[in-house]
Amino acid sequence: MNKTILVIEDEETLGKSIKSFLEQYGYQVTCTNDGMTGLQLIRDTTPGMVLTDLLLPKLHGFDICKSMKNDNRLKDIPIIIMTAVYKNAIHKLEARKLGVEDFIEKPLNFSELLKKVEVFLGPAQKNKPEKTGPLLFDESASDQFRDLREDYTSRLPQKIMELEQLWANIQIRKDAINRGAQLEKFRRMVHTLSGSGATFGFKEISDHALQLEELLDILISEGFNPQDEKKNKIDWILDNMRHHPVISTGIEVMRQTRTIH
Amino acid sequence: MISRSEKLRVLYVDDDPDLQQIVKHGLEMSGNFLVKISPSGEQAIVDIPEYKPDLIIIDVIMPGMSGPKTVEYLRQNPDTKELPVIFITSRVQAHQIEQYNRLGAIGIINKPFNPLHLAPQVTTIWEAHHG
Repeated sequence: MNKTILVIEDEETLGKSIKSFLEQYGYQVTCTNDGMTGLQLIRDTTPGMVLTDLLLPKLHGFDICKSMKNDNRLKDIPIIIMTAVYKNAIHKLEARKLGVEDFIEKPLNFSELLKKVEVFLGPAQKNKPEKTGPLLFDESASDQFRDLREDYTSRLPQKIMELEQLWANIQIRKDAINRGAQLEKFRRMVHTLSGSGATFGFKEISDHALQLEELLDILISEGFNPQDEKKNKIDWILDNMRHHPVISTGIEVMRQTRTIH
Repeated sequence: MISRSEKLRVLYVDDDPDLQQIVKHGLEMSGNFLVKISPSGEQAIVDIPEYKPDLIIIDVIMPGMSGPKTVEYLRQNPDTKELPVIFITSRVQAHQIEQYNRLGAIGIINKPFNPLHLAPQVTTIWEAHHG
């Protein structure tokens, strides 16, 4: 199956987030930020699917759909519309006539996006090979390594819970100065986690932390906006961390031993 | 070559207690290194005259004085201006490598790293520097 996706989104940061998110699941993603280039890329590369915004520079999303519908080579490529504006039934009906298969509302919920993509392009590859090769934490190398790792492993669920609590706090903060300080603290914590996680054998946690760090860099430099889609992505990453078997088991154990409620 | 009879004295500067332990153990288990930990750039500046390290391994992003700021400071002091330094960092980019080279770094180690490979990696960098 052709697992290539063309994303047409004029908000570049969002485009990049979608790309890095979907690529983790084995899809091959190309991004562009205007409608005209988007249509040209569809003609040149015939992607497996198109994910597009509507209000685009140079060519409206609906015009892209129309051109595809009139082209025999392109008319069967599934299109998903991402929109914050065109949400009512009339718009949707109009879009269906143009061959649009599905909609996703902005701000994007990334896990919903993944589900929709999977419908058209088949299941995501959840066990994509590691980019940097396996990290070898050979516990048999020494007893002390094993002890250090056990100790780290036992504290890891607590670290993730602290991140979740801090993130929840940041979102309810009203005063910008305090929120800024908390965002900095959050970034420091994820930075530490990205550096240590994989060293102790938790590559996935490190990768997630690194993604969080990159998102936080942008959030801190652009200023925190409660409507920002990066928030959803942060939620999603934290959620993924929590579902790591070591973390979910650790939290369960803490619950049972009443260290948390 | 690192002499078998005399261990290389390393000062490892990092604010993360987990990495402090694993680096210390990873290097010392090889038998070639003796490692002291400084939890901050500021503390490293205090520790250096007393500990007299042969080599500094320093994290880049730390609260307070960053790794590069600390090294910049060391370069201004005649006693430490030529002290060999290895930066340890994640997300390293081309312009940062240039910056670290300008500060006289003899090597860069990427985070995350394999603790079992750390001693050979540091040895290789050290020997290349002294070759």
